[in-house]
Amino acid sequence: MRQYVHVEAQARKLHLPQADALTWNAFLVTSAIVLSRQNRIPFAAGPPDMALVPVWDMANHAAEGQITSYYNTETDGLVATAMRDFAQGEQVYIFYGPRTNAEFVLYAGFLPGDNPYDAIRMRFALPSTGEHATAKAALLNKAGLPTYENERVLVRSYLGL
Amino acid sequence: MVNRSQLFEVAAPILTSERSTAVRTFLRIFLLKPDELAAAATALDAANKAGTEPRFSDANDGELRKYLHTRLSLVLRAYGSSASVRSGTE
Repeated sequence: MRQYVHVEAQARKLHLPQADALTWNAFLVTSAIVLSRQNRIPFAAGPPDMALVPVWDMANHAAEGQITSYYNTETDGLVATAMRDFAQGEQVYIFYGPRTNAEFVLYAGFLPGDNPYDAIRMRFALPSTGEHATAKAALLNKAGLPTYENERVLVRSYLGL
Repeated sequence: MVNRSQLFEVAAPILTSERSTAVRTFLRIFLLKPDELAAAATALDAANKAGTEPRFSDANDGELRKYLHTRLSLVLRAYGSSASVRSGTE
């Protein structure tokens, strides 16, 4: 609600023509669209940024296991190829990636019925006060596993179920 | 309730899968004894030079399995299904 009040006030302050149409319901719908459909897109002119990809973002997910959408920085456009042959009139699917059920709910807004990539996250940490913790932390860094000064969270493992 | 054979089914890929390299390396270092630290450093240097997974002594495998089973049993108790494992760093 606080965000809506701020955005609505800014729209009126800037005399945007859409200000009158920015109702609470419209704000909820547009927020949901942005939050659930934005994708990180590379740009030739600068660093990657979040953007909407209209039409493509309407494609539903199928657990085919192969991502077939890529961004072509030379043509500055998204290229999506068929993951398999589709019959005329058949719905075309894309693979959203090896996401867990929690990630699907959070980022895509649905829960797949049969998800071979479902997993729960486990955290493995080296206690900072454990025996020879400093020496072991040095070994972990040497192995390419980062350590953090306050909380030695080192590896997060996904346990598939 | 998850039984013991299911726990072994979960732990086995962690010990062998290519996708479990990070968590396996962490656990082997986590369980090192004081007199094993120097040899581990040498193994890590050799692995980094060769660009391969470090080869630690398998003397701690029993302890590693026991640790994994303890951790995994807490998680799997709520699910009770057979499982596979994938892992990585973040």
